[in-house]
Amino acid sequence: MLRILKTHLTVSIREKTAMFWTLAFPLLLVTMYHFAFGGIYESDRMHGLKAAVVQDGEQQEAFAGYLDSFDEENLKVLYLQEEEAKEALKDGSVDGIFFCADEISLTVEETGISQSILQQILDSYLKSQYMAGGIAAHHPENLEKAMETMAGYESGVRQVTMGMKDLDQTQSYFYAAIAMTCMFGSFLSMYATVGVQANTSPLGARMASGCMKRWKGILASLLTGWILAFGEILILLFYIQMVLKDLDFRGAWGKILLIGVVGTFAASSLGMATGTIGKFSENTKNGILVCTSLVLSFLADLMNTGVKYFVEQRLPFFNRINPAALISDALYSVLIYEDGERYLRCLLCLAGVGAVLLCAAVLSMRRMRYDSI
Amino acid sequence: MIEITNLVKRYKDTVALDHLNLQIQEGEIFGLLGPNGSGKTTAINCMLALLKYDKGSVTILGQEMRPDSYEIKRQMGVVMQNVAVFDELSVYENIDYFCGLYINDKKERKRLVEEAIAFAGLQGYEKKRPKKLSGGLLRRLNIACGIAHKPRIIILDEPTVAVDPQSRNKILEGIRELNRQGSTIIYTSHYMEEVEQICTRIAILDHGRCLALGTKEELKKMIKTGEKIHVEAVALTQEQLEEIRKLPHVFSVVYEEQNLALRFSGEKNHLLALLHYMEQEGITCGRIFSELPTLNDVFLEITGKELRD
Repeated sequence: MLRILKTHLTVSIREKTAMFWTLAFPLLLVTMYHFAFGGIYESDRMHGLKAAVVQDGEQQEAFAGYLDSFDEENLKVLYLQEEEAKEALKDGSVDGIFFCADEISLTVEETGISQSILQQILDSYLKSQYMAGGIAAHHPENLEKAMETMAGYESGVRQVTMGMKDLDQTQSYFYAAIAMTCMFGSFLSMYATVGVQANTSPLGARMASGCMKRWKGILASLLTGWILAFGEILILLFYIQMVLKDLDFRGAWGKILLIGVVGTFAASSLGMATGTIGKFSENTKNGILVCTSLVLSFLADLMNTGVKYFVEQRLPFFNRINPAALISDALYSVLIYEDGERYLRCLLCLAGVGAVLLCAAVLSMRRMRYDSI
Repeated sequence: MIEITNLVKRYKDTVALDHLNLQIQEGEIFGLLGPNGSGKTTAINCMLALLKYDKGSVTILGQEMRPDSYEIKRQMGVVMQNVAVFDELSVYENIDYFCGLYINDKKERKRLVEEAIAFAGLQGYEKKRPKKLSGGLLRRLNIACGIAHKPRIIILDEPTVAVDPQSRNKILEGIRELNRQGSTIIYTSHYMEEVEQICTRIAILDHGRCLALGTKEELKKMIKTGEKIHVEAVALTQEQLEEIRKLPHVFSVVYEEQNLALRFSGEKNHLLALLHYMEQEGITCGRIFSELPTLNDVFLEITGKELRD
């Protein structure tokens, strides 16, 4: 049995077309995603600011104290002489210069988010200063209380992401690529299955007329596709995390691998079931599987958004048996929502679908005499 | 050794095998001869328990042949009509794989594979993939994969289709050698020359029926034709043709485009009588040649059509 399996694996690995579409193409796809989406959020990310303060004597000490109240990680303040400050602004060491004289002003070299934030800081101070001045002039008895209130200001809005994980829209493309790669594994099993059936290939006729027991052929078909598909998923996951560094599985490797195992099992079963349909040629069965995979992937939002929700509203049962939807759901359950129940449900449904398809394939392949060859 | 009894196989309205009866003895090269569509491959596939049949039975080595008759299959080697090898494996790997389905011992298998390569004349091609081989070499590889494990019974289904003459002769010689080594061979073909050349006993099939069975000499004795004489470029009058028809043992005279074809019944050596008559009448002619009947003649007399029609 091992030798039979080894030969079938060798044959599949040497089949260049199959290897391109099931392994090389997904790797190219995620690489393309990496270059298309890489750094897309970088420009929005907040970096720590640096500002120079040029004080004219003891003026505007309150402002200096205000600046010092900021966390140094967010705003680093450097007290420099004018010339030094200008030099630092020119070479980009600081984002702006606060000149503290009779009035406080901000000098910047260029416009951008950092500069806008520095301006906001200044505007906020000036506004508070004006308010404090007004209260002192008209209601000096309330000045202390007003100052306390202004110091205790904080935002009443708190942003919370679901499952406490970051929701990066570009990651969904990588999840889709992983799910589609699982589905592509079905082609490997389909080719292996066609090759052992007497009514679809001369090789199958030779095998069937030989002394190799039927169950060995069936098992070899399943294991060939499954092992190769899972291996390809491993390579893809490793590539995405370690080479491209676009996804961080954050210690969820075990769960992700289990999705890979069960997902490729379901896909392999789909491939085997397709391989046993009628007496069509390999090319026809290839076409059937391509159409099936594309339709299932489309309905699982792997090509567009909103379709899965539409199906969920009208035919929710279909999302429970669509392997593509189940695989992507399982990935989201682990990586975004941290929903253990949903994850388990997806895996069980995948295993169930795979088992049903496998039974159908085995029942068809067990037939040992044909009406025609 | 192999017994097919009253085998009937239908494909919807078409009767592919019509109460076929065959008995194949151990040690012989048994030929199944017939035109395309006569049921040869269907008979083979039923024999191998690949096809369902409607009636009858197939017995091999005293046991009924079933799809799970692995012990019987272990003693058989099959060379299918279509080339059945892995395109992604080399010549050596292909033979090794198929031999390995029957032989577990690695040393023994290595020896058998090397013998099969030598037998098929594939030395020097061990590392080549099937796509790099010519049609003849591919057929030889196909044969090597089927016989490497030295089976007791070998079935070859039209193994020389689309094969160059050199490879064909090599294949036929190889089949004789396999028989000399003790294998029983079942050989199907629509090429009568091959069947006449190597088969010890022949069954002629048409429309799923066995029309005639025996050695080639026995088959030729079944028909009326004892000798055929062809005379080319001869000018004859109607009276002369009538006279020729009255010659002893003549039972068929065909005169077309100044070519005369005569069939004589009984033994050979009718040429002298014909030449004597032509000399008497002063008939001049071109080439004359005489030949003994072929299996095609057997088929023609039995069915009224040529083997290659």
